[in-house]
Amino acid sequence: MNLTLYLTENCNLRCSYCTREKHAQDMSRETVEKAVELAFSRGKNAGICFFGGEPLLKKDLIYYALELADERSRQTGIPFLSKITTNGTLIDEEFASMAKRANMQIGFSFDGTMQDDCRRTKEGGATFDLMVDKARLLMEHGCDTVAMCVASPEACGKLFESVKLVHDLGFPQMIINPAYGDKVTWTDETFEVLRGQFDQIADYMMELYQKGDKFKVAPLHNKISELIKGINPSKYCHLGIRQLAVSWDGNLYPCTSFLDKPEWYLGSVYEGIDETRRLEMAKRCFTPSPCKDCDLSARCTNSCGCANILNTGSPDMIAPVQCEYERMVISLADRLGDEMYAMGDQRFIDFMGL
Amino acid sequence: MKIDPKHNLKKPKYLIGVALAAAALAAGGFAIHEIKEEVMEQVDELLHTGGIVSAEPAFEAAEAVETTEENA
Repeated sequence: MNLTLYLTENCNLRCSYCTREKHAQDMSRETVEKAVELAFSRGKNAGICFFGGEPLLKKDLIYYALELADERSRQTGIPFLSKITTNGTLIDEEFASMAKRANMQIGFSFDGTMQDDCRRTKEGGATFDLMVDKARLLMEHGCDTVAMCVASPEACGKLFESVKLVHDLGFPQMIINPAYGDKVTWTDETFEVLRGQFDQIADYMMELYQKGDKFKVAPLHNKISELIKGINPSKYCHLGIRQLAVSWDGNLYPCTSFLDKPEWYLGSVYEGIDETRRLEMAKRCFTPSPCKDCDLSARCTNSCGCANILNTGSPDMIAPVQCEYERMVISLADRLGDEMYAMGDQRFIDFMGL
Repeated sequence: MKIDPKHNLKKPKYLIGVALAAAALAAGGFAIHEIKEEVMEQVDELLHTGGIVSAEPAFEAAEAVETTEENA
């Protein structure tokens, strides 16, 4: 099964839109051991995503977990996959080499030219130059890396140039998400700025496609490919079913936005999963009522309990900004898909990985 | 900004195109531009009204239209 491990509640950055409180609470080696056991205890695959806080503050725990998982994988024959979501500032040669060897998927949180607007150290220091160096290090090592970019209302006017920078640094793909939660306020005006930036990004993707460049930007690229493949993004994260989040003290929750909320407690790595509660959750429908008869429902992240709880406090209620955002990107993606397809069906089919 | 559910949206051309390309391949590999306009329209109609939301059933729908055409 897949687990997301909160290795620490601590972080060396203070991002303006981050909703997590920072504490000096770290996972123990014993909890890591129990979590690895749980990951291998059921299912045909075992997966661990290292998360936090900033997980690279606890590199020792990452290396320990990988060592344990590697051993269990060899003993059981169960394939193991590791991922990390990191702010990237603590990446070094040793980590990059290990990540390459372990085929670790790296989610590199980098806001491009918006970095210093929102992602500063806890002392208030800039991180842009450092992040460019770290990005180059990962690219040199050939690590499986995706740049994860958050667009905030304050800085989203630089989103397009950030996409170009990420491309020019050599990333094969990037993911853009709007900043959600109670630290940010989107207005009609700032959303129009975001819309304008996405227009330019769609044009840029078309320009790259015409040149044969395979750079991919989510959500535009995947809104196209998911429609063709019949994939419903709202089914990615059935809460608590496909994966569980493990807090620093070993408690289990459905996903990362639910940590420390007692009403969503699903057991612990020490006592096991509370299957009754998990089953109750599996039966719950998280599609917000306004979305149920919308034509875009199956293409939209309306059922993402994490985003919903961040925005509205309820896992089954969508916020206007998320609805607005999803409608915008789906509409742009379809325009882009039609333009790409008009250049030839076989080329399009290859690009979409069909 | 508002919550604004959408209804009666038309499927994008690329979805129809990919479905037809797959059907064409299954039917012996004729070029996509040779597919008759009325076939395109029928598949488009199916995609639009028939609750088809992914390419997989659309492939079958496109093949079914082709077979009907041939039999006629």
